[in-house]
Amino acid sequence: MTAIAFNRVGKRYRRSDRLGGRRSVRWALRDLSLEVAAGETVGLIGANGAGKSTALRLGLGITSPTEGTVCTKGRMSGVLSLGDGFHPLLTGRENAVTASMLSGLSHEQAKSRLPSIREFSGLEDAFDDPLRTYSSGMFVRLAFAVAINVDSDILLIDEALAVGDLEFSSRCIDHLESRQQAGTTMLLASHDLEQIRRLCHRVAWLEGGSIRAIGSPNDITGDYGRAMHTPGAPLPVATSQMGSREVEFREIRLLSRGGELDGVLPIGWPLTVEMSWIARSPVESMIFGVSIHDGSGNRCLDITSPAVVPEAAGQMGVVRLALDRLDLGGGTYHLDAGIYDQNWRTTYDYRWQARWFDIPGKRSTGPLHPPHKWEAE
Amino acid sequence: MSALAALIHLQAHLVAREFRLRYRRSVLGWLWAFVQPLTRLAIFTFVFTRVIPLGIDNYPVFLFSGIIAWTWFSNGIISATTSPLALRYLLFQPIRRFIVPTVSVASDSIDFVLAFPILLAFAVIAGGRLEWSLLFVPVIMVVQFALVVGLGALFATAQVWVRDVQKVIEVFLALGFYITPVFYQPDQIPEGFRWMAELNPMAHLIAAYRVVIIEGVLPDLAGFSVVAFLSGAIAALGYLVYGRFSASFVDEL
Repeated sequence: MTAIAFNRVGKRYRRSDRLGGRRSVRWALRDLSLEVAAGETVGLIGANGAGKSTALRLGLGITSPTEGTVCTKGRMSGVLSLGDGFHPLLTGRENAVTASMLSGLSHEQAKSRLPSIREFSGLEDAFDDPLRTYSSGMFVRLAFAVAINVDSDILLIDEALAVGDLEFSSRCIDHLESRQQAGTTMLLASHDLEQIRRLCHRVAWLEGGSIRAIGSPNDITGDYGRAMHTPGAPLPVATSQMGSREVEFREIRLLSRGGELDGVLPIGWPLTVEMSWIARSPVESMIFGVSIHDGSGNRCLDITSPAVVPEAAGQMGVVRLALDRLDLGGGTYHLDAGIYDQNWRTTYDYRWQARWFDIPGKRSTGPLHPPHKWEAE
Repeated sequence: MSALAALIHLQAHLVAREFRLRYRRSVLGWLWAFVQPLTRLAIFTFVFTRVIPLGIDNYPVFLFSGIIAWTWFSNGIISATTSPLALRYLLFQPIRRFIVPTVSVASDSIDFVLAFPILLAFAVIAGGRLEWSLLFVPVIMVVQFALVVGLGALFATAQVWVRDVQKVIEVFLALGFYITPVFYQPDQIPEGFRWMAELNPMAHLIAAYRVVIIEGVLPDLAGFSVVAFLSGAIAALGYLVYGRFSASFVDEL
């Protein structure tokens, strides 16, 4: 039995703000067909703008498709963009009652769920504070706690698992696993490939608003990981670059055994970060920084080089950071790199999420996964 | 619980919530609902009984009934027009979207309901009697509700794309207060201009409130049915147009 059916769905957004202005449109989704069986969990992966959030909005029925049809069977609840359904002046408790009623509960039912919502959210006394005092993590805790406490048959979750802290997100995943046992249908979008592999029965890889590939979590996340980190791909610019540009990165490459990484780094392998630079203007001296973050944004590594002194403007060079072993557990990681003035007065060039890589394998609760063995006597 | 009962239940919860939110953090709270109509009442009573006497019997009751009905109409139209933006958070929930303008208009009706006992008190003080005809007031309110929600839903749809709509409506409502017989009798309008009141559904509704409250009889039911039918038609049109376009509101806001 099918719980969610996208049938050749297209969604078009108008770009212009003026009525009758330039007829400029953007297709967020095009010709998307996807069926989620009752009790199945399907993951959506893809770059920003690939159409994941739009697909979830359509699934939840808060906007309608420009072409095609979306059919759903069963009561739905969802955690979409942060706090969209909440009122900032009302307390967590008041918002929880309204949100539960909007998901179809009666007032009495909504009130009877309050203790379990409060407990799952872990908000404690903040549950009775107005939402304007909440952090984004607290928003997610509330939204998630409401969504899982309204007896829905279908859960739609957009990136919510990546926002909370480690304790909360592992509690959410445990809960979602128990809901899978109980037969709840789920559609999840996430950038964290490890979570996707752990939770989903099938994964759809969206690209430019259509499905590029659909299949088993291991195959699809592997292909996606490799495609996302094409060796020699140009560095992302615009949104992810900042700095005064006196010195600039020319290229950042990740190397391991067997040369340039294809996006996948097996556990325990070495990693070399090779950064080529060019000095556009004369600078006294500079230092290089490299940091590695996991899918939830936690910083796993942050180190800086000794000073490097360029001799003249126009000079180019290469700086390598060789890590004998990374020892991180399974998951998706990104690497930020920066060039700074020696005294940290100026950032010459900073590239946020310059490179991504995927470490296949089970994630432990902590970030480290060094080579180890157990012995019992 | 049937779907309709659940919808009404949800609607009541949201209306109560909107009403509380409107006066949250204010010292006088919901007493502000009385300030605007009572100041208007005082000024217009002074001007039209002392400065330029209009010669209308029982003027405070006559005037106040018109003012509270007009205030609900005017505030309801504005808040329904701006409701997709003001109640944006509701559009991000899997619910019937038409609930948004109805919640706005219904929470404005609370001001009317709160002021109504004061109106009755004026009527009694002025020596009037409370007749059975008062039971017809809820019927008039339902018609007015349909009229305001219908117009409001139409304007709200336009407002999402063209933000000038609210400004235009504010101008027309300011004019409307003077064109509609709120503080004067319809028969005081010169012959050549009477059609303006004849074609104005609010003029008929205000007249109906006055007949049942002041004269203690039912309004002319034939005439009233025409207004009721027209209001129902406007509500249906608003429902259809709003329903047709509201699916894209989330994309445009």
